[in-house]
Amino acid sequence: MNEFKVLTRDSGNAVVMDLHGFLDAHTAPDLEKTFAELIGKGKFNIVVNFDALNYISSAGLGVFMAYIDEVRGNHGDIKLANMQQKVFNVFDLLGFPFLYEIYKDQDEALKKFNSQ
Amino acid sequence: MRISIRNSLYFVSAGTIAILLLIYDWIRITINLEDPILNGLRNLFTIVAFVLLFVAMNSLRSRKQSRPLEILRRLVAYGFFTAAIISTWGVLLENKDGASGRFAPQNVAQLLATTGYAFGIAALVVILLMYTADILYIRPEKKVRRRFQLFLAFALAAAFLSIFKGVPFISTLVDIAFGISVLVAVFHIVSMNWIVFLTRKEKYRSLVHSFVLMLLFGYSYASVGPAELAGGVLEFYSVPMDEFAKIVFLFLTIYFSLAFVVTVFHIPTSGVFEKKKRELDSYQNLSKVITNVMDTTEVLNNTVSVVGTVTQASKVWIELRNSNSAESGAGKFKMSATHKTSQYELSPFNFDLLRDAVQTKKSVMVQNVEGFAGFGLKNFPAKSLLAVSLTAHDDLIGVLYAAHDLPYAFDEEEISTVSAFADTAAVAIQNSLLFTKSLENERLQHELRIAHEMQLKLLPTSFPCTDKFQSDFLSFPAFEVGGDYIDYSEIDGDKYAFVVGDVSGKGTSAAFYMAFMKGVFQSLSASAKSPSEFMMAANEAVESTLQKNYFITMIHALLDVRTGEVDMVRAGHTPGVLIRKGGYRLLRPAGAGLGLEQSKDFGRHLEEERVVLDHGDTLVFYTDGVTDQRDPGGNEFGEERFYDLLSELSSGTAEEMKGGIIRALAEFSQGTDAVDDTTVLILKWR
Repeated sequence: MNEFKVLTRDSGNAVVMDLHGFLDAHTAPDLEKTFAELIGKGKFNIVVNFDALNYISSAGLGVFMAYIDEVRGNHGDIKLANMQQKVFNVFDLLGFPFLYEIYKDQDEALKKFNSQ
Repeated sequence: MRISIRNSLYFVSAGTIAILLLIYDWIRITINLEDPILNGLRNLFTIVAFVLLFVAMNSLRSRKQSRPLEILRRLVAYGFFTAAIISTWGVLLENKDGASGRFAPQNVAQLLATTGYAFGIAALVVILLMYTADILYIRPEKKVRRRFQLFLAFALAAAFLSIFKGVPFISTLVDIAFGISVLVAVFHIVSMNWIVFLTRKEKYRSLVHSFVLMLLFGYSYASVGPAELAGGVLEFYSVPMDEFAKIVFLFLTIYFSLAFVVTVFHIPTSGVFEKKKRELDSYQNLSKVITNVMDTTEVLNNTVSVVGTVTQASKVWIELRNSNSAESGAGKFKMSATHKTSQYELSPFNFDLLRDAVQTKKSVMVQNVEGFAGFGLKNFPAKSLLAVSLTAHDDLIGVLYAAHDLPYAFDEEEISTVSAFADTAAVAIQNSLLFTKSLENERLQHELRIAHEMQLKLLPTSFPCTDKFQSDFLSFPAFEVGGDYIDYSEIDGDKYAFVVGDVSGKGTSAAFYMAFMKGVFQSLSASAKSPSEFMMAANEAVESTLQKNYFITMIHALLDVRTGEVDMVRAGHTPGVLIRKGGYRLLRPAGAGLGLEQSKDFGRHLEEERVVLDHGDTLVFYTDGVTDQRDPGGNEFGEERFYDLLSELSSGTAEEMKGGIIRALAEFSQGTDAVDDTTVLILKWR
């Protein structure tokens, strides 16, 4: 019914993670796995592209919390981009803008990594 | 034994005939009467008497024997008895007439003894026939029964015809009938399958019995004939009886000679046969046991011990797939039952190779384990190793192993036997596992009901109402237990602290954090000087407790009853809704969810908002379970709809508003299950 898909692609010194569909308690483990794989490969500059993500639940939000400390500990970051208004509201309500850099466009996020 | 009226009538008739014949015989020797017609009639009567005796005795026997050796034993006993009577009584009576060289009694006493002797032999013949029938009918086929009846008919025919033995043509007929009944006897060799089912030991005993019976009946046959050892007595009394007895004795002699030979031929195969029989018995036994037993351990133990005894494998064990763990590899299988071995003995060895192989093949054979030393089987304490998959409903639920001390110990036969056991056992194991699981489920459900009750006790039963304000709430977990938290506390008589919280995730884990939040609120709300101070303390408490990917959102509001001032902070929670004069305004001061940020940052970002409640104002705090509620079409209840609903309901009391919200949600969902815990707090200023 509500599928979730995550694809990764390299872009400069960062990895872009494209999220598709519906991120909730059932699909969150897929995203966790992808994060764990990237971190396992030593890729800590991560841009998450929310363009095609239609829904996120609190369990989905938890995934970003789970890896942020480790990524930042390795001088990397998780930057969020291209959120639909509804999805952004959820992040905003929770106070994620205090914790994460959230960009309107993924290129801005990538530029930020590349300028480092 | 039951003696019916009809039976006694038969006996009495036979006895009467015997007495009448005795009288006739007495007359005969007294006046030397030798009339061929009268003698023929007399012989006919002896047949009638014999048939009556036969029928009466046959129906007297109610219980049939079915154990071959028991029957053989009795036959030997009666055979001895018969031979003894023939050789003693008959000889004693012998009193040959000088002229004819045939037996001829001289007085009443001798006549009486002759009659007794004849009927004694007749009765013994009947008994012998009955036991013979028993042994023939052990595993009866229709034709066996028919053939035996045919034999009896020809024997009887021969007996009847023997009355007219003087006529040359009939004499030939007698010989033909005699010959046919003997021929029929020979064909009885095919009804000896009782021998096949004897154990080796029983076969040896049967061999001895058959041999003895062959000698006894051979002797009896030779002796009852005329002019032989004890010959003449029976013939004198009744030619047909004599004929019949001869045929029966010959039949028995032939049958047991053949039985002897057949037994000899069957002795070499008895080992195989016994083994098959044992397998079949154990198989039946196992099926019976494991379909009635719901205890997995018992099913497993039964299976390994049965396979251990039937196949004579030196070690048998079962490992079951661990259904709870998602991990693959060796850890996924657990040693569950052993026979003549132990987990300790087997633990150093690696069965991965076999385990992998039975995933695709039903059974896998390692004929010489030494060749597999490199695959984790070095120094394995057996030479042959057989692994058979335990499969239920196409799922591999485990593996059954059998080991033998000798290499090449398992042949095709053995493998298919073990496989058959494995199939039956697999189904039983699966059943017992499901049964255990359902028991476990029931127990867990019971536990969850208790947890539900406990959590209800963590929520307040009612909210305060004073002359200044009314408050009310609703809170429903999506499952038995939930992660929503709602509470209040009265501070210094003129202040009330209200809290609404939502732990991320649902169910049991969320419920524990909810209980934790109750503790945090109850201990901090009284001492905190302001809502933000409370929230910062709460964040600190949560920080050290919460898992990284969990967080808690919360609204904390402090109402001053004297002024109607409400100071509130929002930690990532859904906004508060202020409904004033039929319109609404969202209260959304900045603040991150608890557990997301370190205290320093958290405090820096946290804003406090103050509203002063006016007459008729309503303040509503809620969790996203309300707005996430879906209808059967999958549409969300949504914020807009909820805020409009609140505006609409705002003219009512707090309690009426609560009722309105519940109704609206029920109407909207139309029975669609809530996806998240649902909580609403309503605070109305009078």
